[in-house]
Amino acid sequence: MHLLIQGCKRNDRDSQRLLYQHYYYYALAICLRYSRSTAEAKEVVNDGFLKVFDKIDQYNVELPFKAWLRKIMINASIDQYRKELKHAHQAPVEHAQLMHSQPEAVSNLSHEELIALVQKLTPAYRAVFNLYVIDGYTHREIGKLLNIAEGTSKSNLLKARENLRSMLDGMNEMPYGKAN
Amino acid sequence: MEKLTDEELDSVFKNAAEGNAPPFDPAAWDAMAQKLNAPRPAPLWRRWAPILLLGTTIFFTGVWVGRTSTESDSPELTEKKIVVEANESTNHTEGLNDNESSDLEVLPEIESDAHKESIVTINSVSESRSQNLIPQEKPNEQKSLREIKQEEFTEVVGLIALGNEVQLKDSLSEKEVIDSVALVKSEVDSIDISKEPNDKPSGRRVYGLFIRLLASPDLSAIKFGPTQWGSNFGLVGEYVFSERLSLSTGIIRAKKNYESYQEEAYGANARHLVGSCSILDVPLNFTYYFPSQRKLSTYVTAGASSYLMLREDYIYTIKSNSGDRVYPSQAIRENNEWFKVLNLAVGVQYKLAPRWQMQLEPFIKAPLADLGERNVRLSSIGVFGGLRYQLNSLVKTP
Repeated sequence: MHLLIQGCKRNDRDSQRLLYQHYYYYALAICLRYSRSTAEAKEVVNDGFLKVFDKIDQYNVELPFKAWLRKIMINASIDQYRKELKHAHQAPVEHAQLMHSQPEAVSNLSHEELIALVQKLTPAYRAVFNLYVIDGYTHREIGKLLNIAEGTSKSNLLKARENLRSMLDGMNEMPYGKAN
Repeated sequence: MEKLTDEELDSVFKNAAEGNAPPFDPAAWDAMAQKLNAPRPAPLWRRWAPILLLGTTIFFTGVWVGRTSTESDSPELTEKKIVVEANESTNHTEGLNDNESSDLEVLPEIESDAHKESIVTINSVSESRSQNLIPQEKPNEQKSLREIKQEEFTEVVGLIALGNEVQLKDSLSEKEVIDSVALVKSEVDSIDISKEPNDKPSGRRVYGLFIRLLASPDLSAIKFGPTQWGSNFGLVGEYVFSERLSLSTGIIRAKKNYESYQEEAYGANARHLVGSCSILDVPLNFTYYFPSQRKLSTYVTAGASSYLMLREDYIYTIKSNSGDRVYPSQAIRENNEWFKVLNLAVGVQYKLAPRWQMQLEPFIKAPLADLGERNVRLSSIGVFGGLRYQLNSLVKTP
């Protein structure tokens, strides 16, 4: 790993390729959560890796590389979110469901299916849900990052959860409990 | 039928996010390689670098020009000038005849037992001679009584030296000259300097430029939590704009380490935070120097600092359903906190040389707002040790 980093610092293309291949799945898993589709997530991954290679000199070798990569990928996703926000329709998805999601039904869903549900959220809800629930940001930090009020962040999180519950309920009603 | 709680729902999606491992797409690298090969715009700092370089060059050229233009007023050069002129004067008197040494002809009028008259006479004798022996005094330059008498004494001693080379008139005995010297000397010695005024006359303004080289240990903490050691190194420029006041700014490279167990400091989910930050501290401070006649003086400083966060490394522990989880986090050049830190300091200053002072300055830096990626209320204390150098002579205007 250390050799790969050193190679990337020398702008060695083979080292960059190996590093990219090694961490591609990890980066894509992060970006998928923040994106609408796999194609968009792949684009964001490449934007993120471009930053990684440009700023590899700033990486502190005493810290885990994954944490640094994760941070960059989240930032790249937020950049994409800002672009997307200009064109996105902010109306929440329908969630007036009467049934409640049940833990045993949810456990039958695969990771991919659950992430696909997150991707269906509106950009604002998706970003707040990911940042708060999965990546451990506080509402104050999210407000600063997304340029929204702290209260808006809390409200978006609440609505994101409601929407996810509704989508889970909807899946429970489907014959095989599968999305799409 | 139980509804999923928020925690359960969060846990489901968190586990899904961590377990999700999409396969590698071999074509992805091709797209990445294309991105890497494409030309990219120069970074912001590189675009601004020529302007910064030009500005820096102009600034230091200005300082250098200002310094060289005022060097002629410096004490060292003045002393050299006196020596040169005194030598010229000595050489000149070697060729004097009796008529030319008109100054010395006045000396017989001195009454050795009349103290005041002797002083006046010696002054009148030395008046024309002193034009060559000492530099012309500036009209607005005030001297203490002791300094004036000391100069008179020096002049008389100079006259004796001349008297050895130029033959004295018969009417002026060597004893009379020595008596006059003794009188002046005794008067110099009898002056009580404690009665001299302490302060320079008001109504004058003093301008000057200083630079300060600073270093300090740093103890930082979130609120009153546990402290950890860090360091500060800096270069500060100081502009003195009155006899007592100055304005200073510069760059201090700070390394601040801290930790906290206070949840409200970094979010409700976290239990523990360890932080290490590299910061460019840009202070803007006013300093008041208390009047002092000794080499040791004191001052107080107040102002505000901007923190340019170069690198922030955090390790934070978060409560989760499956137990505590540790997350490292890093932010590089993502936060600039403008004037969000209050600076307060008191200091002592010791004059090492005419242009050099040594300073010791205990300080406190208190946050006026949340700082950095984790929005922490970071306070710091320490003691700056520093050297202060006077770039140019103080320019005084009446």
